[in-house]
Amino acid sequence: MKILIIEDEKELRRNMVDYLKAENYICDVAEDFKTAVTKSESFDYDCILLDISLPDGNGLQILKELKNNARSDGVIIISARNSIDDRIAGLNLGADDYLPKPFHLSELSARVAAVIRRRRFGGNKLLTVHELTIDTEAKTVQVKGNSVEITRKEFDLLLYLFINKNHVISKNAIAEHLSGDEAGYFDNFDFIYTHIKNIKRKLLLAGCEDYIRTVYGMGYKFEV
Amino acid sequence: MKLLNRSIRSYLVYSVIIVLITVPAFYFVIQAIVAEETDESLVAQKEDIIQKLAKLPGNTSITEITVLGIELTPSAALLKQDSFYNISIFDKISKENIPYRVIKSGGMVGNNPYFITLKRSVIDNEDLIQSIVTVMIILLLLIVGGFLIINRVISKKIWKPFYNTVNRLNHYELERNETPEFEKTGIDEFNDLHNSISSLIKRNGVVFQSQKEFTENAAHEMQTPLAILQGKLELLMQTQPLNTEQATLISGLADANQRMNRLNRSLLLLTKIENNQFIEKEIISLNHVIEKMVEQFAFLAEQKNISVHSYSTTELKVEGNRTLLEIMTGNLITNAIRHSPENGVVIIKISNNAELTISNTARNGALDTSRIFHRFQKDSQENNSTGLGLAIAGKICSLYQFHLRYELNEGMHLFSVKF
Repeated sequence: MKILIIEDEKELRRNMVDYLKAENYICDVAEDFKTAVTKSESFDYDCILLDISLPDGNGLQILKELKNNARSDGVIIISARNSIDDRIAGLNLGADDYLPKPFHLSELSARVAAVIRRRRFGGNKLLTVHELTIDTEAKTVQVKGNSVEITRKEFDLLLYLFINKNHVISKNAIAEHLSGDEAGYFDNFDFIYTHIKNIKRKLLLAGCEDYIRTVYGMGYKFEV
Repeated sequence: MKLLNRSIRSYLVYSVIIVLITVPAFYFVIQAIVAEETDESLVAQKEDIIQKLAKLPGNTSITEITVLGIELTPSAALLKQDSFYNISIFDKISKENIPYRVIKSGGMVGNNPYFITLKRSVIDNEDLIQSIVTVMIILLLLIVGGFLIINRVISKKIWKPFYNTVNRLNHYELERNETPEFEKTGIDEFNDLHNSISSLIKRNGVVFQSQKEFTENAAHEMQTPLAILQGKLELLMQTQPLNTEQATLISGLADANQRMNRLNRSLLLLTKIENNQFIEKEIISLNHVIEKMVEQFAFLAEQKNISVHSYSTTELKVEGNRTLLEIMTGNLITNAIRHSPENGVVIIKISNNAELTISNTARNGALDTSRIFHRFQKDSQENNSTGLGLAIAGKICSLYQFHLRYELNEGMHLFSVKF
């Protein structure tokens, strides 16, 4: 799976590359507009992460070119938060998603996975590991072919952990993923613990191995 | 006291003094003149009679006679000096006392001296004086009154631009970034005033703008380092091996980072509201917004076992930006939930008079109304809040000119928004 990361900020670029590489993506980078144009024209990518505000040009221009050439690369716009117009313009131009800075890398990874899943027409909507199968379209979970009753929030959390498997996901990232901007309103993260407990119990009951680990109160990890 | 009344009051005092002094003075002067005239004419008449009598033969004897107000009485010696005095005589016809001026003098017929007394009614004189003084008073009052009225009308007209200016300034808001237009008056003083105010407003606007830009830029520029920091922390979490101590430290850093993110986000939102960047407006049912927000934040209430009651007696439609209205109501609701004690109550109500009230069980006494809508005012017990929630709600309300109010009502904190 090939990803092009267009971002002028070196450390931010490195963060994304480090995290996504560990998820077995092949990462290509472009640190300015010119390189970005050249690379996006020359190669096909499964997903392009596009920072709009580049020092030598507007990232939206790249998006326009891609769409004019009827390219099927998925595009996620990464942008500073206060440019609401960029968001609207980007989505109108056909971007698949929009992720405002600052973001959690686990969230980025989940969004990339979702975009790639959607882009692959007729592709497999099922994510499977050993006895556990997650249907991303029907939003259902099966263990050894048997359905597991699971709430919407629990499904979202399980999918999030699954996509970021073998990565520690912080409680902050989970809270923000589950509740969007409202994560700031939580006085504590007890609700995450409750959700995790429920998921573990339901999966164990269905005969699934326990893949979810608690990592020193820091966060959770789906380990395979 | 109004400037207009101040100047008119001085005029009024002066006019009253003038009237009080001139009217009696005038009365006495007129009276003196008339009295003198009367005396002079009495003297002239007396002289005439004495001269006529002197032409009579020397042996004519004087008998006491009274005819036509002239009285002759024989006397022992010749009276050289004229004397005047006033008497009043009862008139049988008009049944009242009539005042008379009397002259008493002496004359000779041949060798016989006599007294002569002439009297003249002065009632007509008094009538005359009264009429003159009355006319005079009326005239004076007309002049003074007219003057006051004219002065008032002119002053009002002259000061009108001033009051207009004051009115404009009262409605002026720095945040709105529009300079008030002053009408041209053609009066130098007012033009000077308007020029000074305009340049003052312009200077303030520039300072305000640059301050706003600073907040905006600072918040904007902070996003990238915050994003880098957050990413690094997440990558650090993935490193192996990791012990409990390190994990605790990383968690602490991540939490602090998250708080900074939230703070930054709120600041950006505030500047965006101030910059009027939420342009799209639509008519929105507030009932639906409330319903959505209550559902969205139900988990918060659940955590503290708080019961949220929401009811409305009418459907309230409000014009505004959907995002902003959601943020405003959301902030007020989460604020209410956050500041309720465990097992508390939150009541949300939309009433017929286009008012939304959100109240919650109060933990402590009333809040300081002068400070609650300011930035970074927060309950010291709550370290997870940014202290910007109410400031944002307040900003949104003032943007749409909704009236946001707080009061402590029967042990409940009550926030109300009048649309």
